[in-house]
Amino acid sequence: MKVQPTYAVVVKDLTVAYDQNPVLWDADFYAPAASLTAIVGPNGGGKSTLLKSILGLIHPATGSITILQDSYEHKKDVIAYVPQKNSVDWNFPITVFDVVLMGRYKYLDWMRRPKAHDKDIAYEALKQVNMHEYANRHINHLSGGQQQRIFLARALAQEALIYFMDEPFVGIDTTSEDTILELLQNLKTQGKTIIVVHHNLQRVQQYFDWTALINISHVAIGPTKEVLTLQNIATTFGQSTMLETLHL
Amino acid sequence: MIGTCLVATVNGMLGCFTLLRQQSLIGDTLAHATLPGICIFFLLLQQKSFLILLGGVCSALLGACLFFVITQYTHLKKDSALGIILSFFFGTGTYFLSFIQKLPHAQKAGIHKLLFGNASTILEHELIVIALLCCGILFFILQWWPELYISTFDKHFSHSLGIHPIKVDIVFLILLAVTITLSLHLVGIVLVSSLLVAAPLAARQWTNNLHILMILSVIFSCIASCLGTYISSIAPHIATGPTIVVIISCITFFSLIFGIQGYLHKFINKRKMMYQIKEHTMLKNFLLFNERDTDPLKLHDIKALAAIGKKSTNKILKSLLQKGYICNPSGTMWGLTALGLKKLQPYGKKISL
Amino acid sequence: MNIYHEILLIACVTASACTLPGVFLVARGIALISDAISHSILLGMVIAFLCVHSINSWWIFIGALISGMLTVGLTEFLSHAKYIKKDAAVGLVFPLFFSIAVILINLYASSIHLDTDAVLLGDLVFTPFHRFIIQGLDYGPITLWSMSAILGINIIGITLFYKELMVSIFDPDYAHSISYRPNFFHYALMLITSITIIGAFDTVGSVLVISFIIVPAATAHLLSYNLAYILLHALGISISTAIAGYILAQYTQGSITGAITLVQGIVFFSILGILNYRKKPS
Repeated sequence: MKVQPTYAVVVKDLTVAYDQNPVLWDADFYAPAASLTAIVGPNGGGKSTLLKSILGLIHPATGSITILQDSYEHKKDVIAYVPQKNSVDWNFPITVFDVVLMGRYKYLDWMRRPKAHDKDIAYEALKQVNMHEYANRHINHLSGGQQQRIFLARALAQEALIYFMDEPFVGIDTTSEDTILELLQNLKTQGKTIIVVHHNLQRVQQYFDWTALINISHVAIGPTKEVLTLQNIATTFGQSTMLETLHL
Repeated sequence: MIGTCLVATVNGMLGCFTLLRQQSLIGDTLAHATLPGICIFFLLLQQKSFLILLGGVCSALLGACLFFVITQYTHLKKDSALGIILSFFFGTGTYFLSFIQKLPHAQKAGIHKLLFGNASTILEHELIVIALLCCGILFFILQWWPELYISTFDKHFSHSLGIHPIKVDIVFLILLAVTITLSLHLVGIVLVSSLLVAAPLAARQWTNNLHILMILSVIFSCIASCLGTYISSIAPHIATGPTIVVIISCITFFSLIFGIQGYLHKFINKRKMMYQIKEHTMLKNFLLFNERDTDPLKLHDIKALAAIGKKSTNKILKSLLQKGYICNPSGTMWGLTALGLKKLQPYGKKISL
Repeated sequence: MNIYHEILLIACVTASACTLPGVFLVARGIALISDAISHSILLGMVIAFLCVHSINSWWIFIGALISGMLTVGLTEFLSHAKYIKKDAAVGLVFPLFFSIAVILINLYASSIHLDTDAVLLGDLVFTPFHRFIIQGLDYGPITLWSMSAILGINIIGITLFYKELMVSIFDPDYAHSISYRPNFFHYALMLITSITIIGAFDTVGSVLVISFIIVPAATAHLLSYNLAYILLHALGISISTAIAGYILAQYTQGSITGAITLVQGIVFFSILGILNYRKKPS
C-alpha cells in the first residue's frame, strides 16, 4: 500500500482571468512537504501567476488554496517569498545587510527596531550564501548572481518552513546557480519545502524531486522522473495553443 | 479660433509621441521651465512683444538639457528629474517675476495671461506668427516622421539603422519646446500638460494604429479647443484655458469608459469570462457523480446534485445542453456526453486528495 | 522676535517639513505626484468655500485634503488600465481638477481674495500678519504653529514607521508577504504629503512647494546611499538653503520663496557637478 505523503501546498481548480483569455484555467498544483519542487512551463503560461495566487498577491476567480492544511492568512508566518528580480528597485538607497535584515521584520511589531539577535541571524544568513563581505555595499553595485543570493539570504533570515522563489535563476552564471541549488537541497534535508519557478529542464532533472508542468492548466504533477517525459514536455511547450486544447 | 486649432493640432500630434515614449509629464515640466526665459527677456526688452516667447523657448530647451544631464549622470529617476527642473526653473522665474512686478509698466499684466492663457484675444499679427510656427512644426514632424516613429518604438533598432536616437530626442524636444511655448498663450502654463496628454490618451482607447491615433488625437484636440474658445467668447469671464481642458478631459473619460480598450469593454469581457467559468464549474459538478461509478456517461437525477448543494441556474444548464456537453433525455435525468467528458479532461488528471 | 526672524523661522520650518516626505517620494520615483496634489487641492478649497462662505474655516483644509487624496486615488485607479501609464494618468487628472476649480472661481467667486496669482505663487512675506492670538496674548504667526505641527507629525511618523515605510517602498510584494500592508503605507505617505502641501500652500504657493519637497531631497540622495543619512542630509540642506535664499532675497529685494528655490536648485546642480567631476578619471 502506498503511503500518502503530506502535502505542504495544495491548489485545486485555480482560475485566473482578467479578460477574454485566461491566465490560469482550472489548474491544480500540489507539493509534498520537505521537497524541492519545480514549476516549469513556457513564458506566459501562468507559472508566476500560480505562485502569486498562492501568496495572495493576485485574486483568483475560482479555486481553493491550502497551505499546510490551512489558509494562507493563517500560515503567512511560516512562508518566505523570493520575488522576481525585476520587481525590485535596485537604485533604492539600501545596503546588502539591510536587505537581509528585512527578513527579520515579520518577527518585529510595528514601530519596533531590529535587535542584536536579529542582526546576528541576518549576518549568518549572509554567510550561508557567501555574501558577508559585501554586507555594507549598496545593492546596485552587485552582479545578477549576487543580487539573487542576497534575496535568498533574506529568505533564510526569515527562518520559514516553506520557501517560494519566482524565477530565481534568470540571468545568473552557472556557478552561482549550482551554489544556490546545493543550498536549497540542504534546506530540504532540514525538512523545509522549497517551491521554485524554473526554466532550465536539465537542472530540474538534476536537483528537483517533484515537478509540476504548467501551461494555463496543469499538464502533469508528480515525481520529476515520472513527469518529465518527452510526451509531457511536448504538450507543455508544444506548438498548438493551450486555449484551443482547452476548447476555450 | 484658427490659431487655437492650429496649436491644438500640433499638440495632438506631438502628444502621441510623448504618450508612447512615456514622457507625458515632460510637457508640464517644459511649460513651467519657460517662465525664467520669458521674465528675463521681458526685463531686457522692457515691452511685451512676441520675442519674449523666444526667451521661453530658450529656457525650456535649457530645462530639457538639464533633464538629460540629470538622467544620464545620476541614478535619480525621470520623475524626480522632471520635478527638479519644473520647480527650479519656475522658482527662478518667480524670483525674476518679483522684480517685474515692481516695475511701473502696465504691460506686465500680460504675465497673468501667461499663467492662464487667453486665446480669445489673440491679435491678428500674433495669429500670423502662430500660424507660421505651427506650419513649420508640422513640416518638421512630417519630415522626421520615420525617424520619430522608429525611435519611439525601438531605440536600439533605430540606432542600427543609422538613426541616432539622441539626435531624434533633441529634435523632438526642440519641436516640443516651441509647441509648448505657443500653447502658453492658449491655455497658460499650468494646463499645457493637459493639451499634450488628454487627446492622445483619448485616441489611444479607440485604436492601436499610430496613423489613426494621430488623426483621432488631432480631431479631439480641435473639437475641444474650438468649443472651448467659443464658450469662452460667449461668456467672457470664464477663462479659455480651463474650459478647453475640461472639454478634452471629458472626451478622454468618455473614451476611457466606452472605447474599444476601455472600461466598459473590459467589464463586459470579464462578465463573459465569469460566465464561462460558471459553466465549466457546473460541468465539473457532473463528475462528482462519477466518483463511485465507473461509467462517466451514466445519467443521474439532477436533484441529487442540488442535494449536495451544487445547484445551478437553468440558464447555464440550457447553455451546456446547447453546446452538447450534457444531455437530458428525460425529465430530471441529466448526464455528461462524450464531448463534455473530452472537454473536462484534455490532459492533466484531476487529483483527489 | 521681530518680523524678520519670524519669516526666517517659518521658511526653515516649512522647508524641513516638506523635505521629509520628499525623500521617500524621490526614492519611490513618484515625486511629480506632489505637483498633481498641489494643483488639485484648489478644487477642494473652492468647493469648501462655496459651501461655508468663509475663507478661514477648517472645512477648507478638509476639502483640500479630500481632493488631494481623491487625485491620488483616481490617478492610481487609472494607471491600472491597459493603455494608461502612471505619468499619463497624473497628467490627465490634475489639470482637470485645477480647471474645474478655476471655472468655479470665475463663475461664483470672482470677488474673493482667492487671487489666482497668489494661489500659484504665494509669499512668505505675508505670513507674519496672521497671528495666533489667545486671550489677547500673541503667540506668533499662525503659520509658524501649523507648519511646526506638521513638521512634528512628519518627524514622529517617519521615526516610528521607518522600517515599514522602507520595506513598502523598496519591495511591496515582499512587504505584502510579511503582512506589512504596503498599500496602507503608500496612502499614509500620500496623506502626509497632502497635509504638508496644504499647510505650505499659503506660504510657498502651489508650484514652489514642489521644489521644497523634491530638490533638497534629491540632493541628499546624491550624497548618500543610506536612507537614514539621506533624511538627515535633506534636513540640513533644506534649512541651509532656506537661510541662504532668505538672505539673497533681503539683499536683492526679490521674492523670498523664489530666492530659496533658486538657491536649492543651484546647490543641487553644484553637487551634481562636483560629484561627477570627482568621478572622472583624471
